[in-house]
Amino acid sequence: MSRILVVDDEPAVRNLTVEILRRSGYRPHGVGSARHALEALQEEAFDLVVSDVVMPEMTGVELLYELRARRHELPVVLMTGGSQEPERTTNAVRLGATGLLYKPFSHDQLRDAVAAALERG
Amino acid sequence: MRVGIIEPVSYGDDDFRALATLGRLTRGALHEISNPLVALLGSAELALGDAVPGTKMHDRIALTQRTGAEVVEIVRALQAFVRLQAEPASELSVGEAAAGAVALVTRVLPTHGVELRSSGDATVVAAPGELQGRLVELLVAALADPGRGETVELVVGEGVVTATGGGELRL
Repeated sequence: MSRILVVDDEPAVRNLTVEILRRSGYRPHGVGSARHALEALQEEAFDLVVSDVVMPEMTGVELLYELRARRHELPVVLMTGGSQEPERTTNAVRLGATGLLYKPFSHDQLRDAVAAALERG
Repeated sequence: MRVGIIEPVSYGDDDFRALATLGRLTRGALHEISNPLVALLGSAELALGDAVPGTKMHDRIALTQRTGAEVVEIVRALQAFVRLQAEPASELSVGEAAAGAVALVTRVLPTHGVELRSSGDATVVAAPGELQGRLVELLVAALADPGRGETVELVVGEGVVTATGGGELRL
């Protein structure tokens, strides 16, 4: 059963994403910031990170770069509305994000993105 | 085949400046809307799975989900248009760009009749966002024309795109 770290500063989206993944048979854990994500990754092994892009303090793209700088090769799926930082998000995929999930997404789109990223990772 | 070039338009007028500001606000709003929509529709989908089919509760949740899905389609179409603005210039099919413009306008303004007709195609060197933006402008101008009929047509020809009552884009 894959362990998934969900990172989103918006509690409603984070809790819902965790719930959908839990009902889909995964073992998700939600955190509200990139800093908390880095802490969680030091304490526990995860198979995948699903992270929002636009977050205060540290964005999902910066989290991705930090993970790669620390030689964490685990797959990362970025969730984005895609309208605020399209260039930066496109670059993130070029530089190592495993997948991109556009908000608003359906349960199926989330499940498909997670399954594809786990398969690729 | 003739290859045209579409250069970016420089708007200096106050009206256009106000519209540019509105565009930036809309871009921010699209981002802000996306999180509540994920929560709203995601919760509705979970609740629908838990509700007993045939009950009023099930029907109400299904209605919430359907209505929300219509809003999502509009938001997605506008987000895709915003993302297109980040794409660099390349050689593009005007026919394909016109189809994209018609799809966007039809999605965002579903009560208006818009059709695409082609009497040829052309290739242009342009930024995809610039080209689709110009084609959308043509359609919106045509839709604003009080003398227009039931349906506005976007006609793609060799070297020119015209919209009924909305002017033309020379390539």
